[in-house]
Amino acid sequence: MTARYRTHLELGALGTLLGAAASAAGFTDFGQLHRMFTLGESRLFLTFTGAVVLAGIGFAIHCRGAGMPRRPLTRGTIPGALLFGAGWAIAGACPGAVLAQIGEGKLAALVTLGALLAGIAVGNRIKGRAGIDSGSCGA
Amino acid sequence: MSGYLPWYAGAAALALVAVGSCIVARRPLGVSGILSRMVNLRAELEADRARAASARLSEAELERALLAATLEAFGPPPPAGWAAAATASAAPALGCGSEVLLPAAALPARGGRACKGTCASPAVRPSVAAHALFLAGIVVGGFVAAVLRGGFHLTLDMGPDFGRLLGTGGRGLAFLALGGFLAGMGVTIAGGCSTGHGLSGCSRLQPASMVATATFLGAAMAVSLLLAGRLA
Repeated sequence: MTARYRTHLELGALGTLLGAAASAAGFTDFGQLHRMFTLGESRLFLTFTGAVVLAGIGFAIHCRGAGMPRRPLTRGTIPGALLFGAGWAIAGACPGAVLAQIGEGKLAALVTLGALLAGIAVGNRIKGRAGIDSGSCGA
Repeated sequence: MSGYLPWYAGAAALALVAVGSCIVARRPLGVSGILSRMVNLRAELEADRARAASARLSEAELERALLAATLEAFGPPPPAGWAAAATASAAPALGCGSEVLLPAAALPARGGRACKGTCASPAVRPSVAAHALFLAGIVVGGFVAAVLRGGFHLTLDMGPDFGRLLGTGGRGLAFLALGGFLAGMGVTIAGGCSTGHGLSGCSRLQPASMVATATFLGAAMAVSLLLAGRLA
């Protein structure tokens, strides 16, 4: 198999693992997220911070930070993050979780996804007009 | 009873995806950036085609082009031993993690493993089709997890907490649309989401990602406390 299709296959497998992990951890459950944000339960918060620490160890071993893109602080970082946080708390879904919700059979998440894509299109316009170059989310 | 994974298992699985994605795609994981590619599908497909065209340059063609450019810049080479000397002087400059823009085909196919630190060359980017498979995989993963915990059924309901706090039916859908729109706009303006800034950015100690993560977690907490009626 050529390297090109290997990447297809590997990314498909990683996506599947991400969807399964997000769903099995409870990131697709509005109630679980709500209890994390209102400090009612620590499990999901520990999952998130634990993942950051473990990924940090993984990156330190594998990549040592060399050649990895820097993520610049821009005029858009804080306002964008405020909007995202509000939207995450209301819809109970971040961009990855909304797709996993659809896979779980939550049909209403199709509305969330449509609105999310519209929000991305509008956000791109605002970014262009305001001259914010924050790059994309690592893709 | 939540039926969800203990925190350490969920953390390990998510960390595996973040690091694995960097090894496979040679750039940090970010779901919102991938979704953004789908929104700008036409432009992204054109960029893919341009990358594929440059990748079709054979190695021999590339060497000839480099040699011609070198001759143009520095004149004809000395007759003997020039190649060895040129290689020796060029090697440090082309070291690990350098930002030299070469067509994808000129780079080692598995550079992430061959050379630590080449995780993110701007010239190498998975195709739109590969990223579409990644997104489709997330849907499949959600399906698999739901089946495994015996909870797969088609529903319009987002759960009892959502219904209680935000409403059901049309009212609930309106809130989902509002939340989705704000989240989509926010991740685009902030340049990352809970995976891009939160998971991949914070784990690499990127200051902007830590600011963004603290901000979106703070905003989510404030809005959730408002919804729960504990503020105001």
